[in-house]
Amino acid sequence: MLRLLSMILAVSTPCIIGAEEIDPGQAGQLYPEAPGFTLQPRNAKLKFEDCSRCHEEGDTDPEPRRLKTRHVREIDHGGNRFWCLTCHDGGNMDYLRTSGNEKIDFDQSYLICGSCHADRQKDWYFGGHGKRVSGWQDERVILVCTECHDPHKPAVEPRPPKPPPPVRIGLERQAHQPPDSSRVWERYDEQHGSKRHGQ
Amino acid sequence: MALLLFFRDAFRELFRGSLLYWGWIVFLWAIIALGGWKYIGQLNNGLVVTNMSNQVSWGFYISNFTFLVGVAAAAVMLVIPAYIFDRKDIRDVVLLGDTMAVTAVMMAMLFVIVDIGRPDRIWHMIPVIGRFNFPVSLLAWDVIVLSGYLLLNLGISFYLLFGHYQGREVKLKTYLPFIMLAIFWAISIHTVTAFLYSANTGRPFWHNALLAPRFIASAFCSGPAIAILILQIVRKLAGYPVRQSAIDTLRVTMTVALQITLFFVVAELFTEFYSEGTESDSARYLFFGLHGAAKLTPWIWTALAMLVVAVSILMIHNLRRNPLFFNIACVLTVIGVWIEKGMGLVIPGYIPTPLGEIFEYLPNSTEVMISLGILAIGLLTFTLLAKAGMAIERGQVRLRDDIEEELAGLDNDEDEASLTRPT
Amino acid sequence: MNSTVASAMANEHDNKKPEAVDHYRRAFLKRLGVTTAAVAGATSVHAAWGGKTLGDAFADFFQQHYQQMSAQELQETLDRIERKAQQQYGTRITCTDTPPLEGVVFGYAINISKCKGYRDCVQACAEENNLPADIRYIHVLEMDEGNTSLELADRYYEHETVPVEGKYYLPVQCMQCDNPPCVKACPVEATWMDSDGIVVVDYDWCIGCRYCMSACPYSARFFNWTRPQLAADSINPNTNYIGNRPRPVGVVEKCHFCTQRTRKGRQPACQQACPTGARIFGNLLDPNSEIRYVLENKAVYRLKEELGTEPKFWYFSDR
Repeated sequence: MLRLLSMILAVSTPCIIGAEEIDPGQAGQLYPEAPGFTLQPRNAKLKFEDCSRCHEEGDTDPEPRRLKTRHVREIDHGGNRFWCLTCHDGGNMDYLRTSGNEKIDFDQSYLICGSCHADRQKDWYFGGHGKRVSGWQDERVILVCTECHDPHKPAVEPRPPKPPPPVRIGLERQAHQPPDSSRVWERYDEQHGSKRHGQ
Repeated sequence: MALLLFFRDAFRELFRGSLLYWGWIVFLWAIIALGGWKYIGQLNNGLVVTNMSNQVSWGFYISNFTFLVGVAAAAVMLVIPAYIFDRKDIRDVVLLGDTMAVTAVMMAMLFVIVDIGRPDRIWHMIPVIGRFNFPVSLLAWDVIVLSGYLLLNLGISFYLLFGHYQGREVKLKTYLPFIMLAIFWAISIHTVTAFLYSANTGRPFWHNALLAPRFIASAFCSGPAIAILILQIVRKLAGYPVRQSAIDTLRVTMTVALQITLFFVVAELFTEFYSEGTESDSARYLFFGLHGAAKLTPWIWTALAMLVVAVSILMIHNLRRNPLFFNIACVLTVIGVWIEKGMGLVIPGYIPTPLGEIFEYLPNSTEVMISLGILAIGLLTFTLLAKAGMAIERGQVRLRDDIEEELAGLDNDEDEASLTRPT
Repeated sequence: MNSTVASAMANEHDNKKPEAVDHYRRAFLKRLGVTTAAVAGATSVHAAWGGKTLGDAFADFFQQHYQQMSAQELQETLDRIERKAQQQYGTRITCTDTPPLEGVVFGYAINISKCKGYRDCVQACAEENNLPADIRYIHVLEMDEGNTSLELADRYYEHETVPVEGKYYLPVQCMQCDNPPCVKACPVEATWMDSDGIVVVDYDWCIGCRYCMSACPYSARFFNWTRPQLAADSINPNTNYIGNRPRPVGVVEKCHFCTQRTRKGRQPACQQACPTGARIFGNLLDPNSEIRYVLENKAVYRLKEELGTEPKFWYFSDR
């Protein structure tokens, strides 16, 4: 209960401690004309909570390195340009930091994403990207980026599809496969530039 | 009164016949029973008993419907020379043409009824108590023109026969307006049926302006071909007087229409295949097969071969004067057009689907049996109508005074026998 | 019965029949109805064929078009549908009337750079809308990258995982055209475009001629070739007349943007199920809606635009 209250407070009021916080209810200062939204909170779903239990303030080694702990070891994001403290606030591990070194809550992680993915973030503010979890007529409740994209490995993994559609009861699926297509340049001989046979 | 006697006497005529006649009737009823039994199965289980699918949603039933509307329209090929060109020899046989039209329209309507999913809801089409989407829906137009054509032909035939029956002269002036209406109406039934298909912009195989002309052209060769065959059968089996000049006129119509039909096929082939895009996929499927799917190609090429052979026979003087070859040409024309306009038109419109899927279709035994049942109903109706109609036309069935009837008494058969000699 | 008829008089939409004709028709049918009601009353206890009572069978046969039923007739129809479902499937369902909302025209957009071909939407739709085993309103087409040719599309793809290299995925369902060819085709006006832009079907009025299926350029309409087989434990009991109530044999059906949900402010089932957020849905008349943002800021296109059907279903890409 207290946790919930603190989350709501963190989201809705500017935090006096440490870095500046942004109220998403006003769509930040980024897109004031965007329709308002509420976020489905992320904090409850984090794998590790209460980071400051282990990480004392100011205790973190700022040297970029590969970790040997139970924490994420591989960062498949940014092509070796990132390491943990790129996004995590080394001063207080309960928070994140933007590229402008502002301290933000885990529920506001989208502010970091937007520093590089600005177009996508704009789409997300206006509803052209992301997942809406409330009805189209209800108050707009959307998911934070990290709900779908693991920030350490954001690419979506392939997964098995659901079964193909059925044909009419009593009939069998027919074996006609669509033909193999070829791209225009595949129909030419690369060396001589002439069209291949039968193309 | 006279009307009741008319129907009574006509009905009685149906029970006079040779062994061949009765054999034919029994045979037809057997086919009808078989088809009817299959249809009951279809009513119980739904159209799942056919081979149609969401991909090919119209199949054998509607193919036959399309062909039969053409046959019905072609009755006009007898009406025009009979009345516009005042050909007495054709005037003598025009009633058979009308009977053919009535039967063909009735069969077409039966094919629609067996094809729709909810025949119990047909009343939804009736204006005022239902909802009739006229004039926007082409199907609504089709219902009107077909019903109107049926009533028109029934009405004209009945008027003429009733007049004959009463022994009074029918005045041309009275019914000529209806004849004129019937001529235009005949063209309209097949044009509306063609528009049913050519209205669909999502199906490029159908969506072209040549479809309606093709329908009329192929109707005007298959219809007269059937008429020629029927007239010869009637002349042979029932001794009905059919002048050779009447058959000759029909032959000329059929020949020209067949030539035009084949020309239209050539135009179609060029337009589809000279510069081929995905719009020609259906035509490619029909004529050459598409990505391995080729169930209809033997059909269409057989049909075209039949039509080419038929037109060749008709164009070669010595061949067409040979009755055997001539009749072969007629039969080939009927079958060729039936394939080309039936399965060869309706099915390729669905293959590939608008989303590019190839899902083939051929009718299954249930569809064939129900179709044969409907054909048998048509042949039965034609036989009965023609039998009564011819008897009335020839003066064998006449309105007699009550007294004369009573006096005739047991000698009835004798008296009537004396009237069966052709006058 | 706990079904409700919300403002039934508001059912009477734009394409009603003229007053005088309607009045005459009503009087005629009222006389007919009194007779059938008397018969129904006398015979309602005895079950007839198909598990239906004779009274219900009569009422079914004479049932009017949705747009011409009175409030009472509509309520009786909804009750009858609930009874029929109980008899045929052994499940209690509720069937309500969901008239369109005012000031709303629905639009849909799919981000094809985000669709991965999972087919979660296909399954969710089937469960939500009580689809028979052989009908799926949504088909996901696996297309060749760099190619929009439908000739090369495959809807039956089966892979270990999706997306597959070199392919993209295009979900297709009823486009809810603003100029619908299917509506023009129907000879009995069993399908029409409602005021909120959704093309709906009155399943109890359709005669099953399937002309609309020939007219549709998107293969979006499906026919019940046999009585729909629904398992009692998987039926969605929250149904509406013009949407997901169990359908009879011999009628056409299609995607209706989940009228049972969207006309109550909820997302359609396909949008809710999509895990990638590829589906955007909303009110085209609301300038602040997500769908309007997409349509005004993204390079959107529609399928077969050249046919002039004006679909309310767009596609766009982030790249």
